[in-house]
Amino acid sequence: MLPLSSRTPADEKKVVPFDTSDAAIVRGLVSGEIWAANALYDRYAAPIERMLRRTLGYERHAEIEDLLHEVFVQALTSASKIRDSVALLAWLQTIAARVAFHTMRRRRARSWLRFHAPEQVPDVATEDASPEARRACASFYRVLDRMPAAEQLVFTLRHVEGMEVASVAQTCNVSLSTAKRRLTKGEQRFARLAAHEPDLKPWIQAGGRWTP
Amino acid sequence: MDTMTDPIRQLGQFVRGNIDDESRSEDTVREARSRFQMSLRELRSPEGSAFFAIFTRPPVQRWALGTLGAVALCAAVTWSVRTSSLRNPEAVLTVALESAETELVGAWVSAENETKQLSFSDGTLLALHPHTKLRVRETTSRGATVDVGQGGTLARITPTEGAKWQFMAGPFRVRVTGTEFYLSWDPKGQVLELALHQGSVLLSGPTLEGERPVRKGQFLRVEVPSGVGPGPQGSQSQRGARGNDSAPTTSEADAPAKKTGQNQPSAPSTEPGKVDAGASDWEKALREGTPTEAVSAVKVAGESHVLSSASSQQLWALSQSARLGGRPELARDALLALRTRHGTRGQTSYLLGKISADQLGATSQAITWFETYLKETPGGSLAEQAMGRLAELQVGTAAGRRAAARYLKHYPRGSYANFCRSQSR
Repeated sequence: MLPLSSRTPADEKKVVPFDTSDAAIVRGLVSGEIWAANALYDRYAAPIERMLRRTLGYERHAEIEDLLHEVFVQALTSASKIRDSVALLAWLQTIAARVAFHTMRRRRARSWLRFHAPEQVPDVATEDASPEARRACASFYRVLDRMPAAEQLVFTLRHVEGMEVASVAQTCNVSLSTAKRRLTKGEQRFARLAAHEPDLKPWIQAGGRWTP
Repeated sequence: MDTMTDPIRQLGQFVRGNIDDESRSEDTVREARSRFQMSLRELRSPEGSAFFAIFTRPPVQRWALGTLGAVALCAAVTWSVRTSSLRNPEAVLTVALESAETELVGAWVSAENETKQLSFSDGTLLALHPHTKLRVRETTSRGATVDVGQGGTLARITPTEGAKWQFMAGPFRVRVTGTEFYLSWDPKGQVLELALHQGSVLLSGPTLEGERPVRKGQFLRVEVPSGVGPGPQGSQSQRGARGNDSAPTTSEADAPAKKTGQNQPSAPSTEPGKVDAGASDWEKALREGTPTEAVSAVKVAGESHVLSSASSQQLWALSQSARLGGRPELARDALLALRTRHGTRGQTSYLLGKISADQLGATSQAITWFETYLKETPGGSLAEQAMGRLAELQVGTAAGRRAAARYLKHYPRGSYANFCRSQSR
């Protein structure tokens, strides 16, 4: 039997692309190959899930699952819009950012219907963190929830997801100057609001790492 | 950099480190994948052509069709969810060769000089390497039975709820739920090779009593000696290539075999008559799910006698039952016997470390054993745990900080990551 590496170029046309490049996935998506949809999911579901979780914070487990599903269904239905095969992740991040943005706005709309105090929002979905860390994370996202959705999205992509500002602009589909403006406003607003949160105060005032 | 951004950035990094939860993320991704698969099935047109085609039409049509499609998609998914209990649970899977919808079930497919692709309607893919003969014996709504007559295939099984796939390779059977692996069978040399890329499978066959799990990252090569003869399953695969429908059964899987493996103790080898009646008693007790009685039976038979005469399989079972049955000394001795008498490396050293740390309170020995495991199997499936335990056991020392740094370098999002970060601060 021949190893995979010994295939001829002619064989490659018929090879199952288990080690597919992004370009092959794009071609597969455009031509409607089912494996391409699966490969897209398998390759990028994890980073997109992380991005959603970091952007939205304490979202419940089931909702993150819903949103992840929504991102990939939207991706399939807009597969023809892909122009650059090497930017598959960036393309998915753009979709995920849009989904996250709409989720933030929906959450704000629904917040009028809540009958519990803001302090009772679900805690950060992590089991390993210490209670102090959980409180700090919960306060962090509670503050973010009081910011406009556009600022919250830019802020979390920059500071939690760790994107460069240019990538943030691309992901949010806005100009670089708009991204910078939103980021500056978001940082100022966050600092102002966080100063009233006991769990975040040390970060903002001391300007250093939070220590229990 | 202004003075405000730095603390915010540090806070953001801190939040990221605490909110990332790898195990939870894996669950989310896996569960969303099942739903994604369902959506794919709903979205595919009845002819099997791709639904994406409508989205690649000219802009005007795409706009109209896209809107209609979105509405139809929502309706279809909603209808599917609401009526799933009323419909036929799931249609039997269909299979296509090179995207051609021909009748393949029951027919042998040969890949001569080129690789061929079999795709199933649930998204499962099989890549037949050149010179491979393979047959899809039957398909169900949850999976299929596949005969590998000769050659190798790379399989990516779509993980779905209740998935039931099995691969027959000569005398061996590989049971799969959802995974990616490479399986090859050489009927002439009577050699099976199985490499797990993702997930795990259950392998059964000659000399494997019951089903043996093979997990991600493990490679197993099983060679049936030519002197023993092909055995019932070996000949079955030859017959199978000519269309025989009989499947291998576990009762036929009794021929002696020679095996080599990695990352796990060598596969059990049947050595009947080597251990006295006492050993048989504990083995019987173990099979009946009573490890305490099994360990007691070993005591009756004489521990030193059992340890010096038991087969590798018996030693392995003994170590496990002793470890779980609160006899760490016996578990340690059985594992040491596995290493000295049978040369079993890898997992034995990890377990020796675990027993030393958790049950014997011998920290320095535990450190030595975990280090030994990492030397013996640097990329082993337990490497993360071993590195984490090393950081934990040496907490507060320079060696502990080095161990924490090493752990974070390899597993920045591992289960010990938070702990190791706290050590490096």
